Amino acid sequence: MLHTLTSLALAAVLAVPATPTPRPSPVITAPELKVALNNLLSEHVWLASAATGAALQGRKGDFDAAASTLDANSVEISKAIGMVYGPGAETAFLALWRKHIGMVVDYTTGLATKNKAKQDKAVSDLVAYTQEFGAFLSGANPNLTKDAVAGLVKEHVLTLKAVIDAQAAKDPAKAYAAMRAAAGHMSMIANPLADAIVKQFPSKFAM
Amino acid sequence: MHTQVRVAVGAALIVVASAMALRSGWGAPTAESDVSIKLFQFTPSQLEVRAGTRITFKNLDHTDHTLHAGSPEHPTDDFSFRILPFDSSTSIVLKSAGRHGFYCDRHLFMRGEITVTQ
Repeated sequence: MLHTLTSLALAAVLAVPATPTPRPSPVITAPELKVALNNLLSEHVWLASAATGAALQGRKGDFDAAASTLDANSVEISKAIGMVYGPGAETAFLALWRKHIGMVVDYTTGLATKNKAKQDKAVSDLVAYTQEFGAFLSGANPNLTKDAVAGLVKEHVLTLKAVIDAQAAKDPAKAYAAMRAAAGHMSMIANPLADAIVKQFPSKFAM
Repeated sequence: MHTQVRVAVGAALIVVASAMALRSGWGAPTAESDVSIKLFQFTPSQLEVRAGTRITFKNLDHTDHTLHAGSPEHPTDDFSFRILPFDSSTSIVLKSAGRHGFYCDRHLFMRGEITVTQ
């Protein structure tokens, strides 16, 4: 897959020590980084939507496969972060990222069981999560502010919630339109993240 | 100080105090060691110190963390700081030899261990 190849290229360039002499030629460009992050994050939405749709329709086999593939996507996103910020950040990012997926699962379960309290708690947890995620990325990269990241992730949560709500309402037309919107929104996260990384480490990315 | 401190002394004698108090000269630790909390990680997450060493934890994340003794699976009452806001510090002094785990209960993947030697 394209993003896998790009991730490998990213690994190759970032595996080089921080102060090499002479400086190696970057093997990934800034646009390639942006494309890779866009692919990974939009894939996250499509796979999450597949998982929640299968869960709400009781298609266990489909759910298990979608959830497993979604987690593979999560691991790949975290590796991209780890390649830039190190293995400790990769581990922490993966745990944080999986945390929000768990909250989405809780929301979906609340919908499936018509448990309003569970839904409300999941939404509340997700809103709080956006602040933590903002803290993580702004801590990693001074070109990102906590509030800006939190706002973008909150929008991600809301666009994905719209997908799940439409799926629960058995309105496929609305659900697929919401999926497009949710997947499209991920560029609002991927693009500034890629730009911020390139700005932080300009020597590591060819323009 | 915003940090609520709960101290329990079990078999091990453990002294917990705020960094502010320690900076003013309270206590007489034999050495110092720092652990930063950054990007949702304790750094270092594994450390070895002599008994009586003052270990200071500083939160550099723009979010709250906690510091508890043990592990999420096996918490202990040795020390417990409910909230560590951004840019705050807190310190512990461990006087008993052995391995002392610690973790953040808001982010259970944040864990570490201090090995205390005599």
